[in-house]
Amino acid sequence: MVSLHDLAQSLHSGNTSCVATTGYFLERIQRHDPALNAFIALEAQDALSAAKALDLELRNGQSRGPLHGIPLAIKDIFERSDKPTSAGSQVGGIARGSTDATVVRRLRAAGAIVLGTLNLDEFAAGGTGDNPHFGRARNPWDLERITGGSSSGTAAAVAAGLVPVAIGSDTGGSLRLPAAFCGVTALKPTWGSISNQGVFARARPFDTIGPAARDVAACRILFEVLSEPRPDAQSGANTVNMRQLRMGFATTAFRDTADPRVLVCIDDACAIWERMGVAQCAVDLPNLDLMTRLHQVIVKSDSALLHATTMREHAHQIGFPARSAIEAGLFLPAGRQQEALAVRSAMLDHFVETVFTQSDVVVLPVVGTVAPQYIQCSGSNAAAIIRSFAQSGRACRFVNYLGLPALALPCGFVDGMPVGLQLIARPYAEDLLLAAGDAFQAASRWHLAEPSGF
Amino acid sequence: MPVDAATILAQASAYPALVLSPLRASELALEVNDLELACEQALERFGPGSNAPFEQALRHNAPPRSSGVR
Repeated sequence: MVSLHDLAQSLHSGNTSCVATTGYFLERIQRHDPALNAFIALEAQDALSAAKALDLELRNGQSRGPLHGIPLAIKDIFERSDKPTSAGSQVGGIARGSTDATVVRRLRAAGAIVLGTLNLDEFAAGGTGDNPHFGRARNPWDLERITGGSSSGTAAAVAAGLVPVAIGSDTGGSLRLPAAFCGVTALKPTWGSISNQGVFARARPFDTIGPAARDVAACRILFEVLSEPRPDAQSGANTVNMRQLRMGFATTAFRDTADPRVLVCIDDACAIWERMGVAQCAVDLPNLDLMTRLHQVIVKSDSALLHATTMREHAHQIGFPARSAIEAGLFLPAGRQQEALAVRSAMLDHFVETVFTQSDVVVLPVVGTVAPQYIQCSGSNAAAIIRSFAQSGRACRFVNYLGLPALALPCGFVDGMPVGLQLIARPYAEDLLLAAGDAFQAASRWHLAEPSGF
Repeated sequence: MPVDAATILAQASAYPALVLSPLRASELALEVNDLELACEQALERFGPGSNAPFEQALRHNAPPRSSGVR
């Protein structure tokens, strides 16, 4: 499978055209998506029309940058002026919008070609990829296993090479979890770094748009295109010196419950950074359980507020995972959300003071297991899976509560399934994450592994 | 005051399309009580907090310009 960097070079050197590239990926989608169900809608004619126009620009010597002519796909949560947005639901989506979401507008302005919209858990609320209306997204590494969610199609499409990059969202691990289960790289930026204008809201204090791709380099390009300019921004990743980087590894919170083989993969990844001269130390992440629960107070309260009318009139048309992700919020006193929001700044201050004075980045699992089988997520086995996902929530949700940036990276295999780690850092320290991720992928090959049959 | 399943079922009548079994109402009561407890624990540990925009806290905690890794 070709990297975004190589694809951009081929397009700009004239070795291939936007139309040919778009046709190549459309053909892959048509051939493989029936097995994967990563896409909700394919927009082939629109994509080919856009590709023709972009080819003309290149022939005239006009380039919009590294995304010029790059085909991609978007989670079906972005408002567009010419298409409806399902949000994975039959009752709660966005009718044809009045305008394009800022993210879509930026992608198109940069020359990207939207091939279609991607499957997700209903209302972007759920962790399996099992959508009751659009069907299950399938994990390319094993079609009987879940993709993780809610950005299920995003991760599956990238992992199978149906698109070189895709856009998802992360409210409590919704991008990082499927990235880990499907073996792709994904960036969850600092909250607010990428505009949520025109995006279906899951829980507004946490919703964060981010890219998934085969490698860190592609995520960097997407982040640079999509992020809002910051007047006080510092210089980019070229100035990060790995030998001066301090890496903390989280010890107490996850090691007692994770699959030991997953921890071996993460320890091996740490050893790679250590060989580069990255200083490492153990760090204790404070108030994890409390932040995980406060995250849920806000998610459920805000979801209930957003979907009160839908729940009143159409609750019976909403699948159980989405309904259960909202229901408790209907019965929480309104003031609780304000309390959970009000202590957020103090908890961020405390976390940064405790953790990021001794380390620049922290490495921890995304989830302590590999992707389970769908059959394990139902019936009498469901309780164990729910416990497993509770642990996943513990590793991911506090990151959203604190608004921190995180980078999910493939770091090994267990039982033939990908394992993912995540790096987290201070707010707006995406450059550190991307530099550490780049260095890791330059010294390893996990991100280059491809599922067979695609 | 913790809520119980009966309270949840009574409040759920405001949502005609939402049909809850007694078991589900019990689960929700437990969940609501736990989330309320989390808020109380947070207030105990961190005080009433701040209504200032969270973006301020994010900017305040961004990496220092003189960070040693640069």
